[in-house]
Amino acid sequence: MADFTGRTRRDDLYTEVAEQYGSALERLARGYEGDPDKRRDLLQEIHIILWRSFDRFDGRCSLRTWVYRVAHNAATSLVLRRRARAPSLVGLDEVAEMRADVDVEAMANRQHALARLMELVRTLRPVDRQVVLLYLEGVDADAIGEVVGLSPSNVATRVHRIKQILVRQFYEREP
Amino acid sequence: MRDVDAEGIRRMWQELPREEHSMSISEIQVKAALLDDRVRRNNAGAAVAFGVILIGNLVQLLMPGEHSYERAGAALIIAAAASMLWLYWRARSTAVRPDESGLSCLKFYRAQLVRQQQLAGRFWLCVLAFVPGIALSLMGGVSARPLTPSRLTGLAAGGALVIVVVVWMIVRETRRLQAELDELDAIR
Repeated sequence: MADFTGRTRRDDLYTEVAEQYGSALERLARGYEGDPDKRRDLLQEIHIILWRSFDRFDGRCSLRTWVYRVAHNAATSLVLRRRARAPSLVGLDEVAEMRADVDVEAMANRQHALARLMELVRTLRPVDRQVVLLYLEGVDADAIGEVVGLSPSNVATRVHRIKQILVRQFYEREP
Repeated sequence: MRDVDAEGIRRMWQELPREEHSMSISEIQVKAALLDDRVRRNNAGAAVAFGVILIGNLVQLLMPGEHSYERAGAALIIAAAASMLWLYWRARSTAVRPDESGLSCLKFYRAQLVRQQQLAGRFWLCVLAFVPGIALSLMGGVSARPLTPSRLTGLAAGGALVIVVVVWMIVRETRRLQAELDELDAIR
């Protein structure tokens, strides 16, 4: 229902979310789309789907959980639509087995390290990508489990593996 | 950066500079309306295309003096177009459904894969109806001229090849999706 200014509860919730999670949503979009123009389109789509979703938000989960679920689901839908012409995605196990080939000097460059991180994230299958992106956002294991739908122990195992992969891929030189 | 660990990478991620794509409520409303318009236009375009196929073949089916092969072909093409139309309406739902957007990511992903698998499984029905329909129409057309055994064999072989290739592709896709679904069910 609209108040005297014509704003609805949906508008209010969206405004709150855009302010609080706007930068997190931008980073989330980076994890799904490398091309800046396409990323802008994806982000707009996420915002529209989020705004519409608040009609059905009943508070049974936290606002943060809802926002991350809706945003990741919107982005996953894009991954599925593009899958036919995209390179095949891999799981954490396959990433862990990849040869790191780290140029430690180059990794000292922040931009280079970030580009490599995003490239790595975008090769992951949806569920692993969601866990990695939520971990990078600083979301704790219980909350990641709630967003993704995995048990806390499963999330903990994956987060442990993610940490190992990140260190191996970014800091350790191959023998 | 060499001395930091996974926490350092996490911090670096969170400090990514913003690209500033924020939208006001009125912009969101405008873009949402534009998106709805685009979907409506696409639906209308598809409906017109299917309408042309249906009417064209209906005319052929009802026209007196048409060869029986052509009539049978037209009937099969109408059936195929109708099933394609039905599948098209189903396929539209592979975008985010409003009632699914707030599901946990795993449930949402599973629902999407199941829908894709169902669509892939049903697509062969259309192919099986379209290919013989077109083949029969062609046979009707060529039978006005002498239909040699080699022409007939070529036509049948071409149709069979199309069906085999499409069915093989669908089986491969269905298996791939099933493997992904099994993997998802195993990690829950």
